[in-house]
Amino acid sequence: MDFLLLSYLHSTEEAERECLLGELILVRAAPVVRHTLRQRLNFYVDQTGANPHSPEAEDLYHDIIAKLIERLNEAEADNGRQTIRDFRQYVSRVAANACNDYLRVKSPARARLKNNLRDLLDRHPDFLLWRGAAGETFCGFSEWRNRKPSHASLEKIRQLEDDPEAFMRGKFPREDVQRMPLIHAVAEVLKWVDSPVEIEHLVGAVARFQGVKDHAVESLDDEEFNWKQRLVDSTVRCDTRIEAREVLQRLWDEIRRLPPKQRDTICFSFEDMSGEDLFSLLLDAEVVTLPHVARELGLPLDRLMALWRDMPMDNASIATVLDATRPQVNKWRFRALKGLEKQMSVCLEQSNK
Amino acid sequence: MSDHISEPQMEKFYARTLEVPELTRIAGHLATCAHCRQAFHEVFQQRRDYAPVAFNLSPEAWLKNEHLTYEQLAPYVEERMDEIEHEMLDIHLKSCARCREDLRKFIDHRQQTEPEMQVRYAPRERASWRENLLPLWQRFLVGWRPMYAAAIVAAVAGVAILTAVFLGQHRMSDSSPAQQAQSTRPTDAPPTTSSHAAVPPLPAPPVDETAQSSADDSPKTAIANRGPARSTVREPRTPQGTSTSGATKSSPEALVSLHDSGVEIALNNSGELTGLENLLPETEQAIREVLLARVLGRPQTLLEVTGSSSALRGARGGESRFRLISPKRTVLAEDRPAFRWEPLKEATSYRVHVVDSNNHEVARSPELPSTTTEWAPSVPLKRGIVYMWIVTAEVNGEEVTSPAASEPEMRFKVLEAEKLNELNRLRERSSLHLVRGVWYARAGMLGDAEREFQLLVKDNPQSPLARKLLNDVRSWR
Repeated sequence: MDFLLLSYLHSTEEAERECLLGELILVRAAPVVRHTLRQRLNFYVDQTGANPHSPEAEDLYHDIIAKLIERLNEAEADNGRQTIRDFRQYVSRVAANACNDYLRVKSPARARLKNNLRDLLDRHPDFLLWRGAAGETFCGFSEWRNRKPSHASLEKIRQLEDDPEAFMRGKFPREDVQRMPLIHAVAEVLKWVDSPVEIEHLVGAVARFQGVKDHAVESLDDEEFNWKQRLVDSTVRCDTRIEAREVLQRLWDEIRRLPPKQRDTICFSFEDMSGEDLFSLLLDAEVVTLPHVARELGLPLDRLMALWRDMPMDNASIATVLDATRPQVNKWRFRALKGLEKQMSVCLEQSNK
Repeated sequence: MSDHISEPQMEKFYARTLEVPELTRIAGHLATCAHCRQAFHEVFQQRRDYAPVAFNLSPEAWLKNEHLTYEQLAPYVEERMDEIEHEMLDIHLKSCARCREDLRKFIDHRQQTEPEMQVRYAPRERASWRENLLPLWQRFLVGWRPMYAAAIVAAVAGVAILTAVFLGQHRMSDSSPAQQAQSTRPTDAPPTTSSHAAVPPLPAPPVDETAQSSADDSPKTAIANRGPARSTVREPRTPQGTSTSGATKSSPEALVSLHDSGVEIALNNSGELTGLENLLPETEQAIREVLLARVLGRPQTLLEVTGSSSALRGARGGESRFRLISPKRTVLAEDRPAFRWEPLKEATSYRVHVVDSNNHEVARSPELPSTTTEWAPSVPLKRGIVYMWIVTAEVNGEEVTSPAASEPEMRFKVLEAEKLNELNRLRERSSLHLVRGVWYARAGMLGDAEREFQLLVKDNPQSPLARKLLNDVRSWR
């Protein structure tokens, strides 16, 4: 069992327990949670659990941390009867389960309905989508462009979601609503509500009375298994420290040769299969020192450290750092990877022998 | 000499939970202290459970979680995406069943809803009085003064009094000669019961598609130019320029008409399709949708036969030295297709390889002489499967392959057996180019669709719609 965990479970002083809990969570658990979120859901959060581009990622991260704290408190109250033999694996499992639960709640059928509704409202000249003051998306007839949503409309939409059958009986007594053209259903809902509504509410209402349902979610374990099989062939793996040093040296040499934007994008986003960022790997293998990396990237060391704290980063964060757009970063990364893959193919052949 | 870094500090350095100045200090120290670098190494390895360094540089791995967003759907389907973004998305789609399903559903949705773009839904009458009232009220509010209020009240009262006086005078002069003369005018008087049944409506002139040589027939322009007579939801209004009693309906206008093999096919504004006989309801519906929307939806099956390039295919990059001609990015009815390619000058022989989507070779030609640039397998290929094919040419003892690894794969699909039966039945029922062209296009049989639409254009040389259908199919190749 982890020594720090053991200390925590057997600690008798409140202040010491709090300190040990903080270390367990921030130093031991948080990196594992962040890695799991990246691997499974492509959710990125920084050291503080923040991601201004993705409130969902932040929420899920904090949910997992809260769950871990709760479990540790339970284990501590239980006087260590519930033994956690391998804390890292335990954290990884808790995080993976949370990701699975998150995916189960998300409804692909509803997401597709939302895409279809947005597309229809975007393209049909009689309808309009627009942003509200707080960033929410409203929809309605084109003539309602300057109209504010009414309180009564929210109540009506709620009624519709609660009892769609009553709406259908009233509006479409003889029609099969599920076979009705979607835009026709939307027009009738909007006429009935007689006010702009938030797109999410419209999606909810239409999903209810059109009976939009999800089919069984395919097992994540199967998906992951199949994907891992395919990845094995193209993974570079170094079994010894010497091999790791050679391969990482080669990788670093190739990364340095990339055009600056591609180089920076790869540096900030790279992670190995265990979730370690590029600079940590290079530092461990003694390929470079951090001041050396800072000079190479043309940055002061403290600026590099501030960036290192958030690595590996998602494309949105890299775009902020490089003052670019997310699509630009996507393309830089893609081009860099194609070039690196080609250059490193020799390493791949040797490591697969 | 600086102090060495303690183990707890090193743990925090590894986890990067320290403040930036402290991280900076330790980073600088590690650059000069071998002892602390070793300590970092120990913490690092322990925290990762001594897992070996392993990483993957393939775009497939990195794009695994770059799921399709709403903002990408329309540009992808409409082929407005730039090349690199398209390639990235294609790579992701290969590994993500959910996104493939999202895309398929979106394409289905587009095809199903195209006709709906022409239908009007706005509650016009209700909106207009609200729209008029609101700015009027706003005008009252701006610069509101009590004096203005009094002036307004006085003005309203004055108008009311004048209206009452006018109406009173009008009633008194009801029996004047001028009023009697007005009631006998035949065309613009309000209908009376005696004239109601006596004046039949004039039929509206049909809109002949072939005569509209300068009309732009894109859906948006069609919507902009459309008059009320084209609505399929509202009651048909009186066409302009005709006189009518107002009580009897006018006959439906033709929205679209095409000549096809001596037959006139027309769609009127009631949705009635004429000129097509002996067709199954779903075939008729498909034609109706295409004529209404004036666009052929790109069939989802073309996604299956659109190849992509990949550095993982092994060979170094570069262009092919000779081109493969057909079959390419299409669906074929024949299960023993003829593979055609351009000759390579220095080649001494060729060999054709056909593989399925699992990269299993399903057909291989014998060594073909250099004068041969066509080959068909003797054993039929299985129907309903997507295949890829390559040709290797022998040049000075070396093999030259086409397509090159950096170029898109040559894919095609053999039509499923049920679809083939459906096609055979269609061929028996109808020889019309429009009917066959639409069927072929929706099945992904691009060569056949193009041929039928070329003949349709020949029958309708002035028709923008016929030309558009042909161009749509050509744009997919």
